[in-house]
Amino acid sequence: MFEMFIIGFSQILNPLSFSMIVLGVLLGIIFGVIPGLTGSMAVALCLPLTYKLGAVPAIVLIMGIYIGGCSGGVISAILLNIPGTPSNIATSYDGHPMANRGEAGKALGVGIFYSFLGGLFSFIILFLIAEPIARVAVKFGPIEYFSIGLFSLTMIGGLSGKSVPKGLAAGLIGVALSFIGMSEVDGTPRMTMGIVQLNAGLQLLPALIGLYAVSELIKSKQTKKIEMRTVDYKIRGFGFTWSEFKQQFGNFLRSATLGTFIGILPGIGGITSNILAYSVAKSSSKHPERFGTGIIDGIVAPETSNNAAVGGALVPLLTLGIPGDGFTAIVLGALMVHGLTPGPLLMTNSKDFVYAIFASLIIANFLTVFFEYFGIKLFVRILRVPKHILLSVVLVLSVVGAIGLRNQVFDAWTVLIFGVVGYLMSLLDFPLTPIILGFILGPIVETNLRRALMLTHGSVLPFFTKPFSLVFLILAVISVVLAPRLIAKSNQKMVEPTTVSGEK
Amino acid sequence: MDSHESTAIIQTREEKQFTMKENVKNLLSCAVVFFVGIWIYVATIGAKSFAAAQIQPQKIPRIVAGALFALGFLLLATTILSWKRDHASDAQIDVSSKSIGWRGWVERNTALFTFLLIFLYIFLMKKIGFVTITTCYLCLQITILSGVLSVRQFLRNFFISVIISVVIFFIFNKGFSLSLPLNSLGF
Repeated sequence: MFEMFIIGFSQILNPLSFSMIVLGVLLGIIFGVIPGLTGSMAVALCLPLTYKLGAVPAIVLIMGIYIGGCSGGVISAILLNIPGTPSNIATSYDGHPMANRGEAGKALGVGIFYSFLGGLFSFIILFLIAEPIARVAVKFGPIEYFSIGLFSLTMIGGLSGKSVPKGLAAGLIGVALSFIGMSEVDGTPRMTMGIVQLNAGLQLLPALIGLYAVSELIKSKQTKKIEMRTVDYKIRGFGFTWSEFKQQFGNFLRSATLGTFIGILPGIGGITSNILAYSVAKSSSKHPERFGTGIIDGIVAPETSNNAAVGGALVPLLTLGIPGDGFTAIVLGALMVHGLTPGPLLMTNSKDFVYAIFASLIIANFLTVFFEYFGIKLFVRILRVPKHILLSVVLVLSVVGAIGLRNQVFDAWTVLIFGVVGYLMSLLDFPLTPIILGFILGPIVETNLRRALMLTHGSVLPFFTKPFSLVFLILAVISVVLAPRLIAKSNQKMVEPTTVSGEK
Repeated sequence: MDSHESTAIIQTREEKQFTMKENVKNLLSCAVVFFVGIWIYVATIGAKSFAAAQIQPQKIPRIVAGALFALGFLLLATTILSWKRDHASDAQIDVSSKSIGWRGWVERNTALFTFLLIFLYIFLMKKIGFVTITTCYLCLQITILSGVLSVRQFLRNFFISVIISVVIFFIFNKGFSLSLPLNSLGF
């Protein structure tokens, strides 16, 4: 493993790849800091840049955005009380009260430091378990892949937001959209409505760009009245003492483990993990009544867990080819653009490439803490750049990215259609991430089911006699039963801390 | 009527308006779910069968359509039940805090304008070239989203748009050899 890391680092420690990580981290933090802009948008913006790059510089750029984007939201959550990304919702519960009390520097220091530690923890877990999982997964056939795909589809319930039926419907709509085009097993055109360009199916990347970037632009209101008022801050060291660090160790370890585990589960990411980690930290604390009033326990837990979910989400992507969250769905698309299919074969056949990704994660994590610490003034200033200019430029770059994919303006129309679909769906409170996961998982489930049934001559018994298949089918049933309860609990917990801080 | 009582009445009215909006949203959601289900079913009618396959290509899309119908009925049932429970028929549509005049009209229809602008942007790109259409699009989009219309502001937006369009064109067309639609003048 050690030699592989040396190979991985040697691939990215050249001027091009290193500058791509730097660019990615900076863009990620900027998009994470500005509420309403997301890391997914930043990838859409950078996508055309990656077409002419090799696979390694392209993917390390995207990894940089991923790490920077997940961490950047802490700044606006603490200084503005507006989470930069949904993964930082719980950070604002205690971060902003601390800032109001004149402890913004300390809150920022704690947030930045524990984001770094949470990320590092999950990367170590990723490095340790990815290869063994891939070694097992390489023996998987269509039966196991069907069961894993089905289990992942059931996890969409966890992304459903307020309403489980709406979340499931969004997932199924995503699955339905993936059916458009030639059926993979027999090449029969389906649901193309006679449009020849649809025979090749809808492309993943224009769909992602449309749903995440264009729908956001259509949704955006006039911004003239919005004033970004930040709280004054002074940052010295990381703001906490050695004894505070020792006190928080248990909280850190619990939140990091929780975040990594939640990240590994397909379909659930930083959004769930930060709220859950906050709730667990509160319920296991000796002084739960102080949560929401501005204590570092309430920053350590969400910031550790949302960054720990990053490494966790990469586990199913790199070992099984199944995205762990919306962002890894985009990473999957970006890898495919460069002719790489994530999964156990990538882990076994292109080990040097996978270790280049691992190395880029470590470097990006260090760069994120460095830039956030020393460049905080710059990022706060960026918060004042008018959002209407940024969003308009993102749209142009999204269209350029879509056209550049196959040199077809048709893909720009796909972007617009998905943008409108995303806008209408969010007006009706349908969550968007299930659509993308359904779009990706639909073909995996269908193709493997059809292949498996051809192998078993129509018998479904092997689905229950193969141990791995059986385990994932049982997990799928458990997830269907538990998802509605967990969502109800999570929604309740999201409301509670706001009420506490609101009472102050 | 004391202040506590009036606050309570305002809150109840707001809650009812919220429920009304939620219920209308849920009814529309049901319609969307049913529509997609019907579309899947209709769109797979002409799909050819494959003799050797255990599952025909239209089978799984139709299972998805069936699941969507089931979810649609579930949504419909929960919406009707909550509508009855909340007596939301008394609620009124919130029309407060809306700007008036053309500015207000533009403000209320920002999403529609943005959609139309993107539509025209893609539609006209091949016809009038990337740089020209991008400049026009950016200038109009920034103006609409900023909500400020004065000659000085418009000229400023135009200047910003020209710079951004030219920079994007040079980076991607010249720098990364990405073929972007050009007009007869070459931009």
